[in-house]
Amino acid sequence: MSSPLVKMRGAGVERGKRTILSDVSLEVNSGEVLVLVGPNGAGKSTLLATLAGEIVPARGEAIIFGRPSSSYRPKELARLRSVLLQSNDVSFPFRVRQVVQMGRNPWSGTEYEELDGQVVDQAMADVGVADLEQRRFNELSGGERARVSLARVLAQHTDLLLLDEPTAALDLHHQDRVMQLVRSRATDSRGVVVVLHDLSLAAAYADRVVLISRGEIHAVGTPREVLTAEKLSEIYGVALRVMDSPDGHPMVIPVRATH
Amino acid sequence: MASPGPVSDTRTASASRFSAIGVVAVALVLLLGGVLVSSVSGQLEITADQVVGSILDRWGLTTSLAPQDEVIDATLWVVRFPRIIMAMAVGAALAVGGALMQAIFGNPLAEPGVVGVSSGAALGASIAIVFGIQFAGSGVAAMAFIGGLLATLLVYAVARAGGRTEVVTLLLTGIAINAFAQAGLAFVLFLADTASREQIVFWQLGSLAGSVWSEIVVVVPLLIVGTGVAWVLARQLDVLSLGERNARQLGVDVEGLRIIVIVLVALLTAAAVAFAGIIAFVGLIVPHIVRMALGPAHRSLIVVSVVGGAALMVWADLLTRTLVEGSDLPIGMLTALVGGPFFFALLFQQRKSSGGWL
Repeated sequence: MSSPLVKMRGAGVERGKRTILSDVSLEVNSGEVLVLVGPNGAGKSTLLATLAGEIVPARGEAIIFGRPSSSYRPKELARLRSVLLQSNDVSFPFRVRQVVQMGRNPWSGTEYEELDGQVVDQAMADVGVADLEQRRFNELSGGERARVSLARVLAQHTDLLLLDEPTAALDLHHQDRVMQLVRSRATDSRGVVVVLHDLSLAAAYADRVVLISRGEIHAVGTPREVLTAEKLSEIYGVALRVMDSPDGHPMVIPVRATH
Repeated sequence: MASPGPVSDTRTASASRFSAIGVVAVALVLLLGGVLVSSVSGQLEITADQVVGSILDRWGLTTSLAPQDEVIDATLWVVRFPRIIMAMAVGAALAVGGALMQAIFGNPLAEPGVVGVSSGAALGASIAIVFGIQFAGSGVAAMAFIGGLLATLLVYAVARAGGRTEVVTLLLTGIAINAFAQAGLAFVLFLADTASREQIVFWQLGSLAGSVWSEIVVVVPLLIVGTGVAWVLARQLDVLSLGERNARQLGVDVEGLRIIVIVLVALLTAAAVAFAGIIAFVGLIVPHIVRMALGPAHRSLIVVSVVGGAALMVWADLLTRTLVEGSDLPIGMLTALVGGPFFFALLFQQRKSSGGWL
C-alpha cells in the first residue's frame, strides 16, 4: 500500500489554556472515505483543520504528503488538499460561476490554468448547480450555497478532500447525491475526510469511521466496528439503537419515549 | 451584501460582457466630456478648438487651431489643465482606495471617509502645515500618509474579526476615530497662527483650486503604482471575499495581502487628501455603482473605478467653480451634499431588501 496522504502522530492542539485535541494519531489513506463523528465540541473541526495544515499541532506532528504541515506555504498546500468549511459566506454579490472559479486560484499561473473552464463546468455539474451558474451566491438558499461551496472545493481538484459537514443543510436527495460523489472521489491516489453528524449516513458511505470525544480519538475502524450501540450511547450520552437497514448498513436511531 | 435591483438569471456571459463594454464606454464618455467641458468653462472664454489646438501645439503639432493669444495658452496650462488632471487623479485614488478598503473589510460600507482614514490623514497634514514639517519638500503629503496609515491600522485592528467586519463595529470604530482625529485637528487649529489656521480650514473643506504641476507629479505616480498593485492583487481580493479562512485554504497569503492593501489604501487616500482636502463618499459611491453595473470581480472593479472616480471628480469640480458665478465652492462640501443622500438611499434599499445591514 502507498504511503498515507496525511499522518498524525501524538498530535495535540491547544487554544489558550484549553486542550482541544490531545494525543491524536491517525492516518488518512488514499482510496478511502474517512468519516469523523462525535458530539458537538468534540474537536472534529479542529482535527480537520490540523489534517489540512491550517493548524499546526503544538505537540506531536502532522505529516501531509510526506512533509510536516508547518513546512508548507499556503499555495503549496492549496494544490494538495481542499477544504470545505462550515461557514461559507461571500462578502460581495458574486455569481455562482465566479465563486466556483475561485476554487481554481491555486492553479493560476500554472499549466493547469487552461483547464479552468472545463474543471469548473464539471464541478458544477457533479454537484448539480450548473443551472444556478448566473445566480448571485448571496441570493441562494442555504442548501444551494452549501452545494455551490462544495463545487468550489471540487474545482480545486486536489488529491485530498477535507469536508466539514457537507450535508448539513441538504435535503435527503442531495445528502445521498453528495455522499455518492464523495465516494467516487476516493479512488486510486485520492482520499476524502468528511465530518458528519448523521451516523446512518456515515455508516452507509464510510470506509473507516473515527469516533471523537473531548479531543481524543475514541475508536477507529469500519462502521460496524465503531458504530455500536454501546460505544455511541456512552459517547453521546443518550440511549441509541443500532439496527440494520434494509440495504445492509448499520442504522443509528435514538431510543425515544413513546407519546 | 445582496445587490439591489432585479436579477436577471438568464443573463448570458456574452450579454454581461456586452454590458461591461457599455459601462466602460459610458464612464469614458463621461470622463472625456467632463474634461472638455471643464477646459472651456471659466471666466476666460476658451473654445474647444483652442483646447485641442493648444494640446496639439504642445505635442509639436502646430495647427491653425492653436490659440494665438498667450493668455489662453497660459490659462489652460497653468490653471485649468493642472486642476482637471488633479481632479481626475484624486477621484481615481479615492475610488480605488474605497474599493480596496471594501475588499479587505469584506464590507461594501468601508470607505476611507466613513471609517476615519481621511480624518487621520487630515490630522497628519494639518500637523505638517502648522509645524512646517518638511520631508523632501512634500511634508504635508508624507504626514497625511502617516496619519492615514495609522488610522487604517487602528480601524483594521479594532473592527475586524474572523476576516469580516460587522457593520456596526465598523461604523462605531469610524465614529471613534473621526472623533479623535477631529479633537486632534481642533487642538492643532488652536495652536496654529492665523495664517495656517485659515489654510487648514479651507484645505479641510476640500478644494482643487490652485493645483499645480509639482503636486500632480507626486499624486499621479502614487495613483499609478497603487492602481497597478491593486490590479495585480485583484484575483486574490476576489478569493478574499470567501472569508479569511477560505482564502487561506485556497493558497492566498492573507496576512501579506492585508498588509499590502492597508498600505495601498493609506497611500491612495493620503495622496488625495494631502492636496485636495477631505473629499468624502467618492470611495463609497463609485465602487458601489461599478459593482451594480459590472459585478464585484475586482479586476474590472478597480479599472472602471479609476475611470468612474476620475469622471465623478471632474464633474464635481466643474460644478464647484461654475455653480456660483465668480467663486469656488469647497468640493468636499459638494461631494458630501450628494454623497449623504446617496448613502441614505443605499441604506434604505438595503433595509427593504434584507432588513438592513446588521
